[in-house]
Amino acid sequence: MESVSLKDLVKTYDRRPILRGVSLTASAGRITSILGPNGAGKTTTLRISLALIFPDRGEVRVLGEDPFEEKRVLKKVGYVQEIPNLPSFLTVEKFLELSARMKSVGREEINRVRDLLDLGGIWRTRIAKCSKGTVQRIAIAEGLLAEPEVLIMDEPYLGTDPLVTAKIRRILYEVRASGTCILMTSHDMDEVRRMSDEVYVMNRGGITFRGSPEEMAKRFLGIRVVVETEDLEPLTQLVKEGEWGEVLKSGAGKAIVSLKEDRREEFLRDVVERGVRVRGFYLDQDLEEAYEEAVRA
Amino acid sequence: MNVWNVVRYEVRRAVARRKVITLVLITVFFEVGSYVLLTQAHGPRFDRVLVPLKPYLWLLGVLLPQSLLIHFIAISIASGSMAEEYEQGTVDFFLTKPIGRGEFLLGKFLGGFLLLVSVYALMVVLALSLSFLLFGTQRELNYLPEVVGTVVFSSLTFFTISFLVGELSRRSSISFLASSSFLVGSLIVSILVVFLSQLVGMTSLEYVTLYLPTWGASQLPFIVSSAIPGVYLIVEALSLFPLGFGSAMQAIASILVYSSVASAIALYSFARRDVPKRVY
Repeated sequence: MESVSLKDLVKTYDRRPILRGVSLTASAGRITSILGPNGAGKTTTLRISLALIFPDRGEVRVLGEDPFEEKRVLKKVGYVQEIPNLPSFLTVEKFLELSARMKSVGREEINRVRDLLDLGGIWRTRIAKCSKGTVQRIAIAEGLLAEPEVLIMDEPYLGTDPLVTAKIRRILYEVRASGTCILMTSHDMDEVRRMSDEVYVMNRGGITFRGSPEEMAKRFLGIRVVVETEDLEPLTQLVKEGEWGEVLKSGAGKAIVSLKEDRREEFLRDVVERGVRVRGFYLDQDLEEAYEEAVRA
Repeated sequence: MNVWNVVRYEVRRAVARRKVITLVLITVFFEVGSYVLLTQAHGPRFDRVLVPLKPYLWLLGVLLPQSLLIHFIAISIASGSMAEEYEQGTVDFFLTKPIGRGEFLLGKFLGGFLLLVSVYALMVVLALSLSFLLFGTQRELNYLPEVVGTVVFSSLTFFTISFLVGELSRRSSISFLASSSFLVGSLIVSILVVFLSQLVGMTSLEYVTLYLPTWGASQLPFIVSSAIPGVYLIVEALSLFPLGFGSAMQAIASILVYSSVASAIALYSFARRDVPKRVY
């Protein structure tokens, strides 16, 4: 089911096109990530989905409703800002109470997100006194209030330490498993590769790629495999003789081989049969490189 | 329901800021200072004027902020009401909740105005307490609700103008400066026009001031208070403009026109403008 559907969005600021016909869908129970360089139009796209920015043209549907017309649909939508700007004079408790009142949910729900994000220790602390990572946790807790059907997150890992990142990742997996649609932007390629079911790459207000992280790597990098072995010399020779493709990088006990076709199993068999001692063999999904290519596309 | 949540938030936000504490301190200083000053005024000439006024001195404290102070307080509160939400990026939090833009704007407006009324209520309480305490029993208190009501109503003009400028500019400092300049500018022009009309004997010129926002906003409570027996001297002393031209209805019309036009523009602007990401 499409939880968020954006069709042909066009937005211009001071005659400068920000979005040039962006169409995007995000489904329930999936994590959809939008990638792109700064100024690509990612945040504008999210803000249009939340009815914060009016598109010049195009259609916006969130859970089947137009959020500009039907504000009640936002009760089922959670939002986490890139840098959470929360009312800093409120305590964590009062802030979540305010949000709960606005979403018409009760104390039980507040306690649920408090426990989920481990906010008990700072419950009566003013937000102004919380660290950056803690503010991020508070913002995520607020976004998860009322068990949203759609969770929109702009750079959820910005400024978080590895522990918080891992915690957020675990929570997002749980949220996705419960059927929530997660739509987020990110610059963290590793996280995107790990978590996303679908990826959109944006550049200069347009979508340059749509597909899974694997598809992205495949399309922009080709079929690349990593062979972990000490027998780099015989491996290189084998690749050349067998006309499998070419060795892109070799050294430090591993080689990256670009295959002409997706015949990984046959290639591995050939490698083993020729006596190359293989310690590891896997598909290279360096999304960062694929992303660079996708942006250029 | 969500309008009430925004009203509560707005009052809380304003109280948390030092600005409001400063306003309360200014209020106390002006009220207490004025009454204490009067207790120090002795001598036959002072007594001749003050003694008959003593039973009506509650009106002094109630009307004292009317000429200027209440409008500055209104500007101070309203200029940041919308603008600070943009500056701090907290507007995103509210507009991504199930609340219409009109409801949010109404909540902010009511919350800020409630705060202004509370600050003024403190002045009224101080005025009543100090006048009773220092000058004995007070008379004609049946006029109190009417006078207080008109002061509150007349503060709407600059409160709304400042609220509008805050929404349009999205910068609290610009909003405060522009609204204060508008208040002072309008006041200076009015005083000059009145002075000129008296100088050249053209009283019809005075009526030009009726169309400026300061006249209605500052004169309505004085027009209403001038009907109270025995207080003419207090009213005349506090009023910025000479009493006698323009009616209460004209003052009400002036306040209503300026307030409703400013509110309508603010609503139109807020309902149609984008809320871009906060820029650091």
